[in-house]
Amino acid sequence: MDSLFSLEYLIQQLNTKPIAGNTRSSIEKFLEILDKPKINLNELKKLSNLGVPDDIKGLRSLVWKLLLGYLPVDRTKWNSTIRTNIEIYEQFCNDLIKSKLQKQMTESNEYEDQENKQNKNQDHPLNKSQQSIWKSFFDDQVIWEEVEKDTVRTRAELSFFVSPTQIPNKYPVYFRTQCRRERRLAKDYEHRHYDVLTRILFIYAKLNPAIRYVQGMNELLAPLYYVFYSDTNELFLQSVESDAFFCFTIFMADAKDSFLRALDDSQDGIKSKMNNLNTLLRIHEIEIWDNLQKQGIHPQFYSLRWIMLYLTQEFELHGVFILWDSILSHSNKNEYLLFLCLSIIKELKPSLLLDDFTDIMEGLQQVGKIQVEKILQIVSQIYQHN
Amino acid sequence: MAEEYDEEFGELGLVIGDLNIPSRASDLPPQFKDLLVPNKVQYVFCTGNVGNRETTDWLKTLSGNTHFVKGDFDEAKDIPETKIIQIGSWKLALVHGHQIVPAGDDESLYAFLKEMEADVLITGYTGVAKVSAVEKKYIINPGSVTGGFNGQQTSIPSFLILEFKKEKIQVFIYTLDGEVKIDKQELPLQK
Repeated sequence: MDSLFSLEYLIQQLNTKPIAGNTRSSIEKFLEILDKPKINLNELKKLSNLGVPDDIKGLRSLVWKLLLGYLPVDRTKWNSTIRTNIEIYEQFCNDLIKSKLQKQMTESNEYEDQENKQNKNQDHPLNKSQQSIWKSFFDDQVIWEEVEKDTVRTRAELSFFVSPTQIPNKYPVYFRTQCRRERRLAKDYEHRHYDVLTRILFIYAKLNPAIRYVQGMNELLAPLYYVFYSDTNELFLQSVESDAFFCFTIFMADAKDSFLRALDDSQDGIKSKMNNLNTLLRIHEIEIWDNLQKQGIHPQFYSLRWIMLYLTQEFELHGVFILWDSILSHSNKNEYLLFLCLSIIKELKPSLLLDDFTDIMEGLQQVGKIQVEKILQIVSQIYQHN
Repeated sequence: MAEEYDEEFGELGLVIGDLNIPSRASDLPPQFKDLLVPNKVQYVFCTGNVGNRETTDWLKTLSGNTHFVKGDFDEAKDIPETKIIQIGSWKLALVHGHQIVPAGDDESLYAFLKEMEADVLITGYTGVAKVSAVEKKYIINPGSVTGGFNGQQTSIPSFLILEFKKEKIQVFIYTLDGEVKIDKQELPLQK
């Protein structure tokens, strides 16, 4: 009989921390749902749609893992799920982050025939052939550099991602990117949070060659990683990187269509999503729609980033968490996202009815000033899901 | 951690020179042009006699660190005659070679290298690719990448790629004799 995963680390905080009355009762409701051998996911979704309190460290991390379907509802399976995934992720890293020498060694073990021995001996740094170990190394380096360019400036408004991390540095990196060279010259050998992001996104790119890495994916990983790292449970602290990787992969199943160039014009692509938002706008707020049309303000001027990046760039991180509490509570995240965008537009109504292109565009820059709770209030009135 | 890093994957340097474009050759052979693309090497060491401005500019696109020395046909005023570059545990001296008499003579080149107090001399002028070890030092010559050097006849086009590691340099010698041929040589550090 597997043992039930203990929620003691959450319950204890509730008993020892000074927490305001209504927050306390909200947390108690969460714990009531979570403290069962089999969790009722529907109940959890309904509750987290209103926002997960972050007075208890680790509550949001746990709820998100359940909402994404990463942790099963059977609480006896949590330990094994986490541990298995730690191993799988480690295997990915060992297989995919290889130095030239390591590639040479694995390849020579697999193929000992004459032809490949010859190829290996004739390999050289400028080789363009697919069998070339140099080429394979350089191709990896290109991906790493693309990812690193973005991860080093993820959420630059915070010091978090550039700070050193407690996550152990288990995988030496042999790539010679501009960033790594500069760090080496400055004698900076610290393992930083953005290094972990880089590794996660690199592994994802190698495992998903059809999408690889596209700028912006780092912004979708960032909230997941940050929330998981803030957990206080020992097992979850050990598994921050692997949990973030797998949850990011799950999240990307819904998000990736926006990033695939090939789908830009298809009905799943970003253009179609922007058109759908525009259609919603026409149905719900014909006045605004009409004025934006008249002033020549096209959907891609304001909604591209909202949709592609799930509003991560529009609010400070804490606001993003609350929005994501709500987004992750919905099965059809992409549809719900459009209604969130619509709610934002409704809240900006006065500036969107102005008579001047520049004034309207300025109004659209004020999204960050809106209270996230207000957006959730508005969307709850207009979004009816089954 | 930093040690592993240095040892495993070496930095790459392209050694190239005596192009003489357009006076003795119109361009690099297409087989070479195809291989020499940006962002593969960290350094470019040019032995001199490049030719026109466009070619110099093209060389500068190949890496962030290009080093030029003056050949006997280089007209620009701001290129030095010799250069010393430190790469990890290796001290390199770069000189075209027309200043050394007799031309291409290992003994004279070694004397020059010793004066510079460097480990490796990178030199051109002769138009013939050569890698030699003298005492505990090395003299390497990429030849002419276009085959158009300043001698009487044309030579086989060639250039070098150096892979710098802590305890050795791996040299890749690229020559064009009908097709691209690559030879390798290892130069252990001897101090």
